Order: sequence, then C-alpha cells, then structure tokens
Amino acid sequence: MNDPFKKPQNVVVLGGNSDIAFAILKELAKHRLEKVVLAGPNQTTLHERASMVSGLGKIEVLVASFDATDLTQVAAQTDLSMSLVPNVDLLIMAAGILGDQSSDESEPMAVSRVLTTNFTGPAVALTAVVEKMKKQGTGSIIVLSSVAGAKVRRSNFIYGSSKAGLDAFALGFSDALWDTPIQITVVRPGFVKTKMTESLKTVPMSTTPEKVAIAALRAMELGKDIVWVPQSFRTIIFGLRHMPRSVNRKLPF
Amino acid sequence: MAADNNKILTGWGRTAPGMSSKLELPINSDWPAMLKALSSSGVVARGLGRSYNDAAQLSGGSFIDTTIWNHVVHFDPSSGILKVEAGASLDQIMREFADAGFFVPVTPGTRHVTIGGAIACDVHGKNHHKDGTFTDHVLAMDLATPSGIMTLTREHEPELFNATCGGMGLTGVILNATVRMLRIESVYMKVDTIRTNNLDEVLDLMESEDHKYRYSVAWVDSLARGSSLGRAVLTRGNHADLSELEGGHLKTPLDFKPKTIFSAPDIFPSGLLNSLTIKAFNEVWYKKTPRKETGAIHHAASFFHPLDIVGNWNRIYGPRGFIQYQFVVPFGREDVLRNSLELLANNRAGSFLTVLKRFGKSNAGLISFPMEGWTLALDLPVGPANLAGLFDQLDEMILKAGGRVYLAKDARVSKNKIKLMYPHLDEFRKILKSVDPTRIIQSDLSRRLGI
Repeated sequence: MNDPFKKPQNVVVLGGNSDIAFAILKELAKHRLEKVVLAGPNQTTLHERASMVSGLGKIEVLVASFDATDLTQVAAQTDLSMSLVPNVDLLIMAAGILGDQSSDESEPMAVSRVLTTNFTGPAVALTAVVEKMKKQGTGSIIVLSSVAGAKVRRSNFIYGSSKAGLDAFALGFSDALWDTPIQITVVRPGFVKTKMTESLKTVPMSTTPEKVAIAALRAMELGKDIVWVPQSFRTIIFGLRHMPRSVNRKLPF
Repeated sequence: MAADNNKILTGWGRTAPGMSSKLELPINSDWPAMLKALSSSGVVARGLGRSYNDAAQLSGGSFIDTTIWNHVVHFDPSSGILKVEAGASLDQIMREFADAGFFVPVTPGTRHVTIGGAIACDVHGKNHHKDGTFTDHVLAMDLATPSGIMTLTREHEPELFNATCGGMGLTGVILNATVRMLRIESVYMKVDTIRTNNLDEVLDLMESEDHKYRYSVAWVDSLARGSSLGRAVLTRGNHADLSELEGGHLKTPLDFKPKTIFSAPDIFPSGLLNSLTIKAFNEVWYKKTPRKETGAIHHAASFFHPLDIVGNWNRIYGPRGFIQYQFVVPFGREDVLRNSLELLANNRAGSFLTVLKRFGKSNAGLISFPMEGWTLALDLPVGPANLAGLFDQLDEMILKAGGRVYLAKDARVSKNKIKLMYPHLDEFRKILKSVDPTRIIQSDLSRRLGI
C-alpha cells in the first residue's frame, strides 16, 4: 500500500532495465519497498538488473516478460506482471529506445520500431494498467517522458514525436483520472547520462538518473502531474515553442 | 457491485485515498453468509471515518456503512447501562442522555465517532489516568464474524473480547455494545488552566497534580525552542456539581445542544499551514491564555471537543492532507518527549495541534494502544520534503524507549517496527485466523502493516 508520502511497498517496472527506473527503486529502497517486478524484453539483462535491485535491501524481485513492440501481447504481459504482487502501489512506465535519428529517418521499419516501443506499446500497456488499478481502487503511475517530446526538434524528431505522443496520452489519462485515487505523474527529463545516451556526447544542462528519480518521486508525493528535470527546462521549452519555426529548424541541438 | 456505490475513501487526515464499494446492510443480516459472499474482495466496517488514515477503508474491496445502525436498544436509568447499536455516535448519545444526567464514560477529542469505532480504536480521552479507555466501560458486544455472531463479554469469550477492544475492526463487524454511562449533575466543567514556561514545568505539574483531576491534558507549542522548548497550556477539570454552578448555568444544567457554527469549505490550498503560520498561531494561542485561572466554568462541549465547532476542520490543511502521529513512552523516558519536540522544532516541522497527556495502566486489549506513560500527539501537514524521514526517526526513538505508535492514527510506520511495538500481534493474528480463516475482513491498514 502507499503511505501519505507515496512511498510504495510494491512496484512494477515496465521497461525493467531502465537506468532511471533503477534510480527510482534505489530511492524507494530507503523507505518501505518490499516487492518489485521488473518486466522487459531481454531476460538476461533483466536478471542482472534484478540482482542489483535485491542488493538494495530486503527486497523480493521478480522478473517478467514485456515487449512493447509486440502489440498483441502487451496488455496480457502487463496484466501478468501486475498480478505478481498483491497490490501495485506504483507502476513505472520506463520502456523506450532512443533510435538513431540520422539513419532511422530514411528507414520506415526503424521509425515503426521507435514509435511502437516508445508510444503505441506503452499507451496500450497504460490502458491495461489503469484498468487494473481501477479494480484495486488505488495506485500511482510514473511515466518517463522527455523534454524532447515537449518541443519536437529537427535533430531528433522521431524519438521526440514518440515521446510527445506518450506524454500527451499520459496527461490525457491523468485528466480522465483526476478525481480518482489513481495518479499519473509525467516526468520530462532533459539529457540524462544513462546507458541509453552513452553513445551521445554530453550536452550542457545534462542530468543524472538519481536527480530524475528524486524529482519524480517528490512530484508524485505532492500530487503533481508534470515534472521537468531540471526544472529550468520548463522555461526554456516555453521559449522555444514561441520562436518562429524558421529559427527553430536551424537550432544546432 | 454497482459502480455508483464506489466511494473514494480516506481517513480524517485526507491522505492515501482508495476506492471502495459501499454496502448498506441491515443489522440483522445473515452475517456469516453475507461475509462469506464478500470473500473475493474483502470487507471492512466504516463508521464516521474519523480514524486518521487507512483503518476504515479497503481499496478495491467493500465497506459496510455502520452509521445506519444508530438505535438505542435498551437503557436502564437506575444503573446507567446503555445497550446501543454500533453506528450510533458519541454526539448522538451525549445529546440523548444528558437530560437524564448521563455522559459518555470516555470521549476522544471529537464527538463524531461511532461506538463501533470507539471500541475498534479503543479510544481514550483526557481521563485515561483515572478511567482508562472507552472499552474499559464496555460490558458486552455482539460481533459478526464469518463463523457466526458472537456475544462477547470478559467472562464469555474473553480472548475475542480482548482482541476486539482496540482490534481496529479486524476481528469482525461490531453490531452493538453495552456501555456503562457516567452519571453527571451538569454538563458543565470546573476547569483550571495554567500556562507553563517549558516542558519540565508541565511534566512536573502533571505528575504531581493529575490525580486531583478527572480530566487533564496539555497543549504544547511545538515550535518553541531553546529555554521555552515544550512550553504548554495545561487544562484540567472535573464535572461541575450543581452546588458549583450559578446564574444561567443553573437554569439548564443538563442542556447539551452544541452547534457547529461553521463548516470549512474545501478551498484551502496545501501549504497554508506551514511553520510560519503555525508559529504565529501558537504564539497567539499561548499568549492569549491567562497565566493561571482556576475554577472557570466551561460547557463540556467546548472543554472536550473544541474543534467540533468547525465542521470538516481537516480541510484547512488543503488537499494534500495531514499526518496525525501519536506515541506513548513509559514514565522515565521523558527524554523522548524532549528529543522529539527538539527534532521537530529544529527542522521547522510545525505541528499544529500538539497534545501531551499521561496515560494510566494499560488494559487487556491485545493490540490496544494506551500503556502507562506519556503520550504525545502531533499533527503535521503533508508537504515538506523532510517529513517522511523525520517520522522514521521518531519511530526509531520511540521503539528504543519501549514505546509505540497509535494504529488509529498511523499512516506510515514500517512492518518490522509495528511487530516490535505490539508484542501481542502474533497472538492477535491467530485469533483472527480462528474466527475468519480466509481473512475476509481486512483493511488497507491491515494490508499495509501485514496484520
């Protein structure tokens, strides 16, 4: 069960190998975390991650299958992952891939893969998550979105548009659930130094999974539906949105 | 279950909401069959929802609204023994029996609790040092369990009786109770109020003089620091006899018709009550109290239930709600009182209403809260980032001192600590298993704490 500080006992992670999700679990392990389900496509890496999570304290970790690109299975896999704990206090939607903008934009199937992994699959899964949480009468959801989705730019519009879709979908759901005990927090980090971005060169204002985790959990505790990490991105993106497209398309980042 | 029966429930602290399906069932239902029919989702009884957190809700399950069972079954004016259905509130009982010269034997800080809730939480009042808890005045009750309806007394079914007193509603659904009422000559109180400069002063006064008063409680300024740490307003009183009344009071000595003058609307933002506003309030509250006042005559409603004058006062904490936290430590561990007040004051964590009291001996309730010692109740608005950690530190201090926290107010203590704080918890669980083998009756609290 959740406590008034939204410190959960049972957590399910869809996209269980995410560095940010792990940082969130690490933070929660300091409180009353008891059971974790890590669900993802690659069981080998998931098991490695599972042993990292059980190393965080007296935590029972289970591993399950979740493949966001397999749209016929996503809902069933979500249900199964959630049924492994008595009550899902927190679900972290962390499935996602970065793709490679420059090569992907000429590859239809690569575009399909990024959009399905980052948007369609997670949106289908979230629908199943919400149905299940309605039955259990309570629950919190953290959706890992991105600053890239808040203002889609030339330099990464495939990833950006996929996150824009997920972000909008999750916020719409948040509105639909506004007067219920089910709460959705959409997290919009900037450049986070993780395994996902290790091939890219670090940019200014980059952040860490730990900082994203703390900001996400604090936003959830306070009942906020959107959190930017760092907070200053809120202003920057506001500025970018109000610049003419002719300027925007020439941005170097 | 019809969807329109779904209600979003929280405790009085308005945190940790959950959706449960409301059931209105006749008190003379076929209880074993009815409860067994609810075995897939589980069920819990809920009265007026005054416990602070998740004790009277079961997310994803059902709750039985007991407030529809509010009839007096029998009253014997010669002995003052009252048999009443479990959903009747103390407010209703006080209004109904004041005229006849009877008062409830124990009342918490609000009248708006049901008899069932008062038993399940084994509530206490300002008279614990003299009169014990509410269940110390309960002679019998009928309890609906999946294995049947049982009449519990201390002689017949003592184990289940003691598990039910303070058992957080987990042993079954309390249907009615037989309570010994207190005979009074008037609904007025003769009250002595005294302001102390610090914690030591108030502790000394309570230790040396509490025995002279039936009721005694101290309000503590949680944000006073340094030499003023723990400065308090100590209020003590007894029921006033007719001979102690004069003027208008004598004309209507048994007139108990308190009014709610104002109901707080749901518009207050979270954060309105913060360390600054609480500090200002505390300053005013402390300074407005006369240094010493003796023999003042107050109406029982304002003496016992000052907050009930504002309906829904919990809304002033804003939508994020607040945490009530009450603990008890044995006598001799006054250091814990001091350290906990210091911890809060140094971290600028202002408790809006901080209440200190001396408990008398504990009773036979298996997981009943009160035990001999000092009890301190705090309430803090949810919001400050350091709050969760501060409470964890308090738990640790209390546990080390051999104390415990009150389940009716708890929202966040850990499973490991609750086991150590309540040594009879295993025995309690065994009794639950014997009357409810599949654990149909449960609550968010029991699930959270693994009870």
